[in-house]
Amino acid sequence: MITRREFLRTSVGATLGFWLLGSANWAQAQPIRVGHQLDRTGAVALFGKWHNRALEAAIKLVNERGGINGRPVELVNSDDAQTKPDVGKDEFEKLVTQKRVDFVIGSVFSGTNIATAPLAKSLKTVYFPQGIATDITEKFGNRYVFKSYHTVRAAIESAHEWVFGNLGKRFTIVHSVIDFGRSQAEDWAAKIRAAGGEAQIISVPFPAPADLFSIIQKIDLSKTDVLYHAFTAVETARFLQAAFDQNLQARVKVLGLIEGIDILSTAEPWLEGTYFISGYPRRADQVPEELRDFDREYRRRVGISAEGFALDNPREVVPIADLFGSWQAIFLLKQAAELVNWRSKAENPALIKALEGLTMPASVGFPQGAQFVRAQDHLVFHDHYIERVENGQLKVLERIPREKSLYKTSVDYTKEEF
Amino acid sequence: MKRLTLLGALAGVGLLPWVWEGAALWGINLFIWGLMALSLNLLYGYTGLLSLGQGVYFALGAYGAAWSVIYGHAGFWTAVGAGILCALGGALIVGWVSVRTSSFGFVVITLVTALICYLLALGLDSVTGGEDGMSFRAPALKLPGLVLPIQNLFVRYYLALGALLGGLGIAYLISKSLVGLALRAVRDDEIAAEAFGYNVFAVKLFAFVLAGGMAGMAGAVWALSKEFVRAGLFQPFAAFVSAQPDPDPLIAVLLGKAGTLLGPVVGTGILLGLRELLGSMWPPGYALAMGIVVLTRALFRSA
Amino acid sequence: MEPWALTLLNALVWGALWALLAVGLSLIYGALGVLNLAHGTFYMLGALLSWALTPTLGFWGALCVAPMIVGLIGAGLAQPLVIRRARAPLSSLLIMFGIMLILQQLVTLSLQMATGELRHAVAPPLRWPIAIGARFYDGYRVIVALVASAVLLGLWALWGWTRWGCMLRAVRDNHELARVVGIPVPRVQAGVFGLGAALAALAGALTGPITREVSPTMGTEILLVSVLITVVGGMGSLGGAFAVAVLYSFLENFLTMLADPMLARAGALVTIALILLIRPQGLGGAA
Repeated sequence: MITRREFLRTSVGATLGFWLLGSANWAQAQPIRVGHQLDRTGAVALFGKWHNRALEAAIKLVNERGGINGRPVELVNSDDAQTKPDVGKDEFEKLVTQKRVDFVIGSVFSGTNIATAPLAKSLKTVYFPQGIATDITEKFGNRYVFKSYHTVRAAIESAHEWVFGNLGKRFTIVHSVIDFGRSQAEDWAAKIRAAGGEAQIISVPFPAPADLFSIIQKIDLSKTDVLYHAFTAVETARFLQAAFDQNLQARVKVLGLIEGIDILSTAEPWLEGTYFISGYPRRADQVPEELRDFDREYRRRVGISAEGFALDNPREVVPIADLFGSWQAIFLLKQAAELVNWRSKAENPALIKALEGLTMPASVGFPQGAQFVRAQDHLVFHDHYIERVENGQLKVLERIPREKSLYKTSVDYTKEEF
Repeated sequence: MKRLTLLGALAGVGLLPWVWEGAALWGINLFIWGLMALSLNLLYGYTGLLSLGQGVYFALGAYGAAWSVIYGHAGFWTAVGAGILCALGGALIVGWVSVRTSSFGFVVITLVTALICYLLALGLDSVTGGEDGMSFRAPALKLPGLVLPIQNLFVRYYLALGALLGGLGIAYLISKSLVGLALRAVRDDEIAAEAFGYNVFAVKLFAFVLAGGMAGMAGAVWALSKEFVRAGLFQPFAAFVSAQPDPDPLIAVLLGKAGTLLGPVVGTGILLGLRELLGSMWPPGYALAMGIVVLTRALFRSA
Repeated sequence: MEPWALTLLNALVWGALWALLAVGLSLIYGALGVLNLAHGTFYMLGALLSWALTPTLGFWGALCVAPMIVGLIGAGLAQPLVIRRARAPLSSLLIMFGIMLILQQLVTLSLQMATGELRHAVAPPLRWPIAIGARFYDGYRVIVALVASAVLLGLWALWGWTRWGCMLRAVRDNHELARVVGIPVPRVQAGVFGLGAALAALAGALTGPITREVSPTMGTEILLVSVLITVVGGMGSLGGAFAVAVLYSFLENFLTMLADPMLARAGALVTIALILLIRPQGLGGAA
């Protein structure tokens, strides 16, 4: 039992002690807490698991190198965000108000990112959403939201010239009706029309119906050079198999974003010969020569084999192109926070100003190569790759420099108040 | 004495978030889903109508409120009113068809309504937002002389609490009135009720529409405090296909005591507690527990 | 032109599958007087069991064994849980609901523990593309339609021409009288419940390679649609269930060609539900 007098004595003593030690030192000993809005179940659960591993590995590396401003970094996982925007939003609020995190790395589900963004601003917490729908930065972003990896529009901007030149301009776009799929359909359609091509759009609800047969029937092959698919992983597999049953792969070029198959093995007959736009080659031997050292370190630390499988489960495909958004968010934070000697959330305005327009050299923290943050829309720009499945393996056909993905943005968050 | 306990409990609930802020988010869930369970209790507990599609009216309430804010720039109370009206309208149409059928017909119609609404909500994603849903900025809650931002956790807490108390008030008044008597008469013996001159169809329809309105109120409060709606709210059996579902109203009613005033709220509380407890230790246990609750309640049901 | 021909073919295939489900439900209602809310769960169980047994028994072996196992589970559950309490409709509904929840959770749990995953890809058992114009139709689906039709025909023969079928009809038409003339009513009822469950499981096992995916939640929507088909067909009427199943499949498949797939399904459901406004007892139901 502690008597009231004892309690008073210890607490007064402790307060005095801390005061004498100096509050600055005390604050520096405290770890920096990074929250993860983690989907443990639902459509993106597998992605969530791997993003979490990438974060753990990135934080371990940062701590080995002395932490951020000399303070250790600590990962704080949310409860299950369930791939549901409303739940994810609640989990974000719990992370910030109850678990007292300093930053939050977001869900992979764009809907959750969009629902959470306003909260990031009202709780004055820097948020790194990991979904890639265009609207995350173009419509629903704000001063506290940073995208550490491309959006759909950046990917399409960088790839469209190559695609129109090599595959054709008459598209049939079949997309899932979620932000991820919808923004691909809209952004492609705009590009295709501007180039004088034709775009048929077929939207498929999410979750997709059990039998996709009738949807394949709606594809008009006489007006199609390129069959473009925009689904999440398991549904991509089902759609491409349904298309394969009707021999479409042999009759048109099939194209999609790598995010659509990022957890699928490519050794499937229905993927043979199809094209993908990616932000990172799945296989180590396809990584450009000058980045191979960084790539090796990145794969080793996250636990990914040279072929893109999990080191602890050689049958599990790792969404390697998807998860480096989480990986480099940590290094983005480190670089900016050390630039302005960030100590607490009160200094977030300075941190945000440092992030806006930041350039990052190629390194283990940025294994994808040199990159930069565009100040206006808080989007990171990096190189892209066109990959094709040949003999069951993804092969890089073309590397597209990041300057090509610089589309014109319609927003300017630097004008926003903090 | 009883009144004193009641006041004490009320004060305790009212002051809770000041003592422990973490309780606020939890409390909001309890109040909103408790209100939802209350609405089902009016149907199942008082009137003997088993609906497996009560979520539809919750979703209609949520969308009514959201649409009025997004498209009509409605104020706070207008939005709540719009949500309730939407749910009332939907319940009137579905009730008109369903309450005249047998108990199986009623269950089937409520279930299929949920499926049809869910499919429509997914298909009309340009207005519903589909499975991503739609975020919006909720208007501030205006009371005479007061403007309260809904983004504030405490405002949301008291709003949900107020809605639940309102629902409890309605349920109490009904249970004490002649209407409540009519509901129970229909539940216990339809033919006898008919013989005593009750219009069974009208009584059932009244219960159905009232329950729909109450679910709509819960939905409107949910949408306004989350500033969000999504098509999945319509999904039939939503509570049984997700890993960590919101409390299902039917299970809450069965777990508390059907036909009592506070039973459904207590049931909701138990479900939320179970989810919290098992969610971190053994998630499948929660869903399994729900099944066991239903089965045991059904096997040992007196009627 | 080809897309329409293919859609017609697909409508027939799904018509046969829906008929398997709806006829099973209708049989159970006729004999036991309960609405089997666990029907979708039996469907899912069939699909998952056949997926799990395929590596050891081969696809066709699993296709035969899985429905039998599910049928036995159904018959076993019927005896203690359903039959004795079938009188009060509300109780029986809750019991079925409880069975549905518990079975579904047990499956989820064992799948999670055995594989760590809930959704599993199903490989097609054979590759037999049938050329129709420049496109192909998956020959496996044709086999599905043939198997389902054969089972339905067999059922029809059983129902109309055998002693067992005669007992079934007697139980459906009048419980008490059937008991008086010496028919072992509870045993017949358990048998019918098992048969209905097996039919649902067969539909599930056949569908797995079509949808290319199995998961514990795959039966939820199936349940709702097949319940509606059964009600519109007339509870307990096998012919009605069959007719409405085919009608629904045609509506769904052809509307999907014309409109958004979700709206098409909603439209198909609403259309067959409207039949109830004209004939509240259902197509084949007695007035």
